[in-house]
Amino acid sequence: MTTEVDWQELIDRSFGDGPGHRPVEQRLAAGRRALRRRRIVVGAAAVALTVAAGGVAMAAQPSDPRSVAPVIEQPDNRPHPPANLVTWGDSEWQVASGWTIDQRIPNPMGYELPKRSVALEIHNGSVHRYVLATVDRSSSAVYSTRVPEGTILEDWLVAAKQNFDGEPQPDPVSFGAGETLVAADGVTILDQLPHPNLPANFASDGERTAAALIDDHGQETFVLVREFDGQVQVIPFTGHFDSLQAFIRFAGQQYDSGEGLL
Amino acid sequence: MTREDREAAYVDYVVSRQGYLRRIAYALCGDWDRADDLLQSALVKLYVAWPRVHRDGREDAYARQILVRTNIDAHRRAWHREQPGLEGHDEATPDPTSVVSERSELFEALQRLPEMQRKVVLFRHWLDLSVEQTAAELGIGTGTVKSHTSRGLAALQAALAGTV
Repeated sequence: MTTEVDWQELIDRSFGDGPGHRPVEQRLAAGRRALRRRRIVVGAAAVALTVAAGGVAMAAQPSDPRSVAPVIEQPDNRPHPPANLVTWGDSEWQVASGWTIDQRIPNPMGYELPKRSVALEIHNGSVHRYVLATVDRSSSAVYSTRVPEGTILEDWLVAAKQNFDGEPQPDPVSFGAGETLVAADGVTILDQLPHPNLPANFASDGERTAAALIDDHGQETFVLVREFDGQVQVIPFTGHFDSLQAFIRFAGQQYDSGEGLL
Repeated sequence: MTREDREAAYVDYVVSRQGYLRRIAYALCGDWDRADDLLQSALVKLYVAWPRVHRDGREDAYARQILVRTNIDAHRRAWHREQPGLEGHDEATPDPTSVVSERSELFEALQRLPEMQRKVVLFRHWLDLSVEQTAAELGIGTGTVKSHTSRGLAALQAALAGTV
């Protein structure tokens, strides 16, 4: 037997079609739930970065404790925006006390009433933030980052809208030489550790792994990176830890429990 | 894109391609229940990413990539819970709950290939992707695709020869 084998046909005939499919409605409902969770998490995670020095965690509304990234107390002198950074009330968008609106783009999401959206540039003293906020009858979400240097609100909004739509982004980091990470455009590696001490169900001996704290277009995010069978997987996790080591300890507990970070 | 537009296009896609995608998932993992779970995960992620993926016409490629990557993570969770044998040393135990009657010796041989060899053979010689497309979707080099193809097909040919 040589190259005459028609592998496509042989493989295609080597197994059947399997049992019936789930109803399409079930597929659709699962997708809707995932999109809703993602939007809430995006909003909550952005706010989770803003925990005050007292360590009280507050989530964007509506709060879903299961979806809010864990927050660890961290003394921090940076002025943090509150959980209700931007809200809809009294028929207008309102910013939290101490914050001032510098620029506004109405309804960037193109929603029809009763859904609303707004993009804002706001500041509190010397701290400037971009915000994308949406509200519906029963839910709202706020996505906010510090203003990256040299950017304008319109450009930031393009990426922010993609986040809201859940569109995939290129991996923020990749492996360079050995287990050293290199950053993609628009990303800065703030701290990194090659081969972090994590359980074997995260990666096996001999596989390249790393952990890092990155600034991804203005948003600080922790990532775990692993290589398996030639494929690199970047696992981002937005939470507030006082150091990269603290994040790695948390990740270790997650993998020890079998839960992981995905 | 309104939600109605998004969902109509998504439903059209799911109805027309879920059979194709679940067969890929099954070929990757060898178990219909797990294949269905893989497909469900892939379709959920596809829904979330739908606007850009649909705009770029990359639905199949995106779904395939998710299937491959999700399969890796499911594989890792299985390690944690079940402690199976070493790949390349211990042969997988057939799953008694799977639909064995639909499977041929070739399929069993396919399942015995190391994971990346199996993926490469399936992408190249079943899904008819080019070396470059296979390399891009699996995140490996074209040279690796060629070497895995060569070894994988040799193993399958040996398996077929043993059954004739």
